[in-house]
Amino acid sequence: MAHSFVAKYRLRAKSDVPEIFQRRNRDELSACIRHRADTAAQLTGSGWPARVRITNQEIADSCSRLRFESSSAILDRMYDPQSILAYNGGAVIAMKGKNCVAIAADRRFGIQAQTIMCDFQKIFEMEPHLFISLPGLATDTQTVMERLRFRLNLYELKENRKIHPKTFTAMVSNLLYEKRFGPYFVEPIIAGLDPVTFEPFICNMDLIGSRNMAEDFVVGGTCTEQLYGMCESLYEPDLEPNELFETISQALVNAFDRDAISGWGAVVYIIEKDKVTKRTIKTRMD
Amino acid sequence: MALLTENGKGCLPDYEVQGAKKVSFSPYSDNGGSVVALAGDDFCVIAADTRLSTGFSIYTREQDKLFPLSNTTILGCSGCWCDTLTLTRLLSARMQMYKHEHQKEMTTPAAAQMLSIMLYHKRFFPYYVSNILAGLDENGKGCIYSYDPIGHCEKTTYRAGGSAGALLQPLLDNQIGYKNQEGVTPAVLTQEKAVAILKDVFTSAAERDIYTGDGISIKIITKDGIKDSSFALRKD
Amino acid sequence: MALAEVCGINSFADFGYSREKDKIAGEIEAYTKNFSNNLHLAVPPFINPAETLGCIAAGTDETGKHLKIKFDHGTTTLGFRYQGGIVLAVDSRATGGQFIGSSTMKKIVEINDYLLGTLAGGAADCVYWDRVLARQCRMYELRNRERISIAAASKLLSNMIYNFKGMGLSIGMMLAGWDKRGPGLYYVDSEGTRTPGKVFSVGSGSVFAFGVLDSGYRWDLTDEQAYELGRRSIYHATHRDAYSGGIIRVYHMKSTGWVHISDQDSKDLHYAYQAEKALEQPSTSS
Repeated sequence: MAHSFVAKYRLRAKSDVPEIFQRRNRDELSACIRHRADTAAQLTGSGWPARVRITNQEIADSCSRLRFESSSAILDRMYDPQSILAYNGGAVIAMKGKNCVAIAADRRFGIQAQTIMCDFQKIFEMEPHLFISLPGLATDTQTVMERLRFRLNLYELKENRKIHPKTFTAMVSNLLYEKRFGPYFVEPIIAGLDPVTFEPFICNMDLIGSRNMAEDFVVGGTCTEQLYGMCESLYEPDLEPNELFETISQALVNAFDRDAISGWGAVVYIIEKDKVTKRTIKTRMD
Repeated sequence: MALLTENGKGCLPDYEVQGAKKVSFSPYSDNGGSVVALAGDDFCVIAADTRLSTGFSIYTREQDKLFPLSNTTILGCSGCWCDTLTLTRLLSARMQMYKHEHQKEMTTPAAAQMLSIMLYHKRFFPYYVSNILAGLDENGKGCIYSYDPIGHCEKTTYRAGGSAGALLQPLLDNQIGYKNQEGVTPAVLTQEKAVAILKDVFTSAAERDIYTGDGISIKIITKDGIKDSSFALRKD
Repeated sequence: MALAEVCGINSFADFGYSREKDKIAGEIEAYTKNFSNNLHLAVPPFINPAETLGCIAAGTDETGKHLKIKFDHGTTTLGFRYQGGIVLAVDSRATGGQFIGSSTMKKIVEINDYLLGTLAGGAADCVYWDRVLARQCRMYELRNRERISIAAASKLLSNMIYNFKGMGLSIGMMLAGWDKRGPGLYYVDSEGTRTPGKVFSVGSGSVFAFGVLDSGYRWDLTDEQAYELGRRSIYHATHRDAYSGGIIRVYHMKSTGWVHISDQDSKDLHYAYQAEKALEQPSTSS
């Protein structure tokens, strides 16, 4: 019993847990404390012991039950328009071209209405031909990216080969589903080329990892409606890299110009077999 | 006896009575639909899809959502259909009263202002309608007025509203407003181009918005009157 | 009708259908009462409209579909008095939720040649009451053969909207004008505040605007300096605040009436200011 809890201290529930769950947690813990006290009293033959100890395991059990129960409340909150996913703002697209893919994102990092910075990194290079963007809650974006990098490194050390985008997608999906009932608030978008055949690949998923491998384009972020509208009419199959650049940047920029909480610059990656081009676009800065 | 053993504690279970059940009632329903209007130098074209839906079911596939108020003014409505009906009924009654009083048709800008005031009348229990008013002004120039639910009105030259408004508006900004296009001289919008763009944008909207589809009805307003046409969209 | 009378059919027997015709005119009047009396808005069929309407708008219809009842909102506006009169500067973005409904909204209302109003908050609320005010000012002018003072105009407005206090109106207006007492600048809001002052900024981006405005404000600014101060303050607000943007408009109230100074796109301003900064930087570092 390396760490233990002294019962005379009230357990403080985290403030973001709904009130009903806080009460539930306290009830459960106090029941637990009573049970322990009774047992201790029987064992020692004396009355109440001065202090009752509760193990970390018991607290963890109680909390995991709580986490499961509160998850439905979190899921409800998630689909609220002013939800956690729209806390920082952002817009991302990935598109397939002829032997190439493009992925583009805005550069704003904000807290609700307030713009904090205009050169925030939202697209990450996982491999020379594999890029991921995680629009959503910025803290989760960074956490998920670091955890993915860790798993990817392990994969490469173990397998001694470059990962296939499809395999990587499975890895992302897996990581997200592990947190099924207390999810990371990100909706990943993956774009890349097959390391062997250089076949274009794009995919997006929801925040618990349901994959959608599209043949044309995928979008994510806070202005998906606008992005879908733009892409649906501008996209053509089998575009050459420079045409693809023009299409994806027009789609992104015009879409986020109608969204209050994304924009402030854009960055586009065009991924081809022998080169990756990164370009930043001059946009409105309001 | 079974009850007693089942309960285990030797007493009968409480016979629960269902208490008062709170049923939440929403005075609004969203019947979907999209409206797009484009204005040119001497014409105005407005189109709306013809699907009337509720939730995941479709009431009808051929509901015209365009209401001609006069020879030069058309109102396109989407949102709560019952509010639309009341609003347009009052609007056309008011238009008729004006006509009898002043011996002339109301102009489009006047109708636009009137609509704004009528919407604001219901400030505390708004009409759930997304309105786009299209027509010709006193000089025969095309003009479009778009509204929020409580009557904030703005004059523009192109506008998309309704359930697919957010999908289509950035596209119109780009294709008609020439936003984010550098080194391109804006060409004058012709009737043919306007209709072609309309058909294009509705086809795109029908791909992604389930409340928009089946078909569109297009009305072109020129000084010679109103010309009707229609165009089929996907029906799923 | 005569036959009905002979037969003794009354309105109870036919549920009042025979009288329907007479009712129609009255009904239309009743449904558009604010045509004849601008202050007469429809009474909602529920108590506490500010809260109830919010609940209804945030809810769903009977099929569970989320309603999109979102009123257009703004804004960053500012106004200040200085030796040359009053400068008003505003942005032009109207947002319904996150969606940018318009980027070209006119947030300065020209009430008459010597009176301007700026609008922040609910767009429809501000425009409607400004229009009512314009009518009343004109009536005053016709009755009294002189222009209304700014103090009186702002009091008229304040009293009108005070009647609707607690009903959920959202208005933050500045009235600027020139009367026989000289320049006048008033702040009026939907809570009932009405106060004269020297420097005001209203709206979601006002905190950012104040930062620039306060640091550059002096009574003895020249006209050009004053315009530039207003413009720059609004520009910085559009840059940092998500709900402000679009075109930056500057007006000047002089003893001879208002003058429209400029309408500039904040995108152009951003890159102009950036170029200026780039020019300044080498000289300061050397």
